[in-house]
Amino acid sequence: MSTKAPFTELDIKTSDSGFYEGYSVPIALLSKGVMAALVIWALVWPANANGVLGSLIWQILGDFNAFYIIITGFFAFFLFVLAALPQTGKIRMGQPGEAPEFSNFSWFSMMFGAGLGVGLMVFATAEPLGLWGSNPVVVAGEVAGNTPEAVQSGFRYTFAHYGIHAWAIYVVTGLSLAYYAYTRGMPLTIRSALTPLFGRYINGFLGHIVDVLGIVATILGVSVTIGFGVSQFVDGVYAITGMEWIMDMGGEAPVPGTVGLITGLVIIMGLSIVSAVTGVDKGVKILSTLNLVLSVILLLTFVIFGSFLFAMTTYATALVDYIMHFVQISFGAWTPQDPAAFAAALPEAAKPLADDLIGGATNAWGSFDGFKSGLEGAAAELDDATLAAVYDAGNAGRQFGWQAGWTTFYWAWWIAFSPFVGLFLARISKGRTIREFIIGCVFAPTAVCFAWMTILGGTAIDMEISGVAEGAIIGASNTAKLFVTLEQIISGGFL
Amino acid sequence: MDAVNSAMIIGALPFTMVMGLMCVSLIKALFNDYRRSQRSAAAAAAPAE
Repeated sequence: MSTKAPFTELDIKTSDSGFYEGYSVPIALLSKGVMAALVIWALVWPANANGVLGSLIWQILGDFNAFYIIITGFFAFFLFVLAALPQTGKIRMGQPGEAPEFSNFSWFSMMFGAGLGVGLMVFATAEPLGLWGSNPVVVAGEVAGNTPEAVQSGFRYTFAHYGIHAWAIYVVTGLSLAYYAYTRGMPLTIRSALTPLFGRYINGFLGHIVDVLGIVATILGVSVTIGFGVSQFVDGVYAITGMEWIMDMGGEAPVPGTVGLITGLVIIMGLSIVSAVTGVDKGVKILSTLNLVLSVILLLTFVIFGSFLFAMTTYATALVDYIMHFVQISFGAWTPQDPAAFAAALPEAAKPLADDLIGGATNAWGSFDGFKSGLEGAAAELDDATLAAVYDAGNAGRQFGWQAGWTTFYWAWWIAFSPFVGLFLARISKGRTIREFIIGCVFAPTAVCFAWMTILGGTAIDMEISGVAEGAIIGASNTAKLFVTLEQIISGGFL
Repeated sequence: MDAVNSAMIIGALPFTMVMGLMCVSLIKALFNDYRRSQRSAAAAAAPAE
């Protein structure tokens, strides 16, 4: 049986002159049009945009939460198989005998420069602390949040969100782009990766759609990242200078105010324009070197003055725990709980009150005590044993709410970023074998992210368990947690 | 949930499906390239007479 030569005649028309010189006009206009429409909608009718997105998101999560979870689990196992099989693992992405373009050292340092971004700064303390208070084991009522017993499950899900799956998402996109670019000489673009399925049809409108989907997802992902980044920037400036005009002091803890956020956004935009205009070898290089140096200083501060021993024991136990629960994390997907199934699972005494009970019992953000105190009327008269059974019956609903709010948010965030990071990983990995690419870009960064999370987050948790921080870190907003932790290190018993 | 986060989760969904297709596509490409390399290896081992 003969196999046809692969289709490689990708034809993307780019403009010869004018504003879009060297760019594809339909792709540029389509993606700009989609984004402009979204921004105008949000600016002109903010209430309408908020309301529609708010109700649409839960409808979509109801239908697609399980899809997000399971396909991400599939990505991870897909890469394991490709790396393990000798027929695929040994394939070199380049011409036969071609050596890797970059040395191992520069390959790794560039990879971390791309991956260690805002997510790791904002969530290094916020993620372990948030999951220490609420994770599927806590939501199920098996252990109480914010206790020493919840540390293990908290770090299990911290590792899940920043581990193999996150990097597997980037590498699926990166590997697809790199494979066609370096073995078939095709351009590094999303549509190249679909040519084996669609052949010459990818040259038409279908190809534009695929590329635009990648661009729109990336812009939305970057928007979320910039949102966190700017908030953290304002929180950090406030922590150092104490300028109150950038903060909204109305709530329990100060949060970045509108004026502060806009000022922060303008400063960060100005810096990125300057660094882009001065070119890769000046601005970008200075910024990424500075980023690496400051990250190392931050990490060393935590290693020397933080709870390094606690972090290292947590790293070891959490890693074992993570590996043992890997299949469950990959494929344990939840769908919204059916009210009829909830009513059927209730004890007899509570059955007539199912409608009054379902809201509280399926609320993933409350505790059993919160559920009890929120009840009114006849439902509040039920005895504790019945209420415990009711709360138990709502477990599936709570698990869905938790997963949709945490894990699926992360999977969507990493997927939205994957055209961006994947393209970069592909660009720096010419001449690597598929096995090297997967091991180097999935397992190595995972191990480093785990260390980052346990050293920064472990210190924060240890200070809360030992009582030094007196709840100050838990009470701070996500973007302020890192600075509150640092303040506690400086003022507390650690220095 | 914050509006930008919601927009991102919705906006990433179509691309998630594209990524699923990319996996299928990669399996097909790897399988075909493997068969091509097997055939050219066989052709090299037994040159045409």
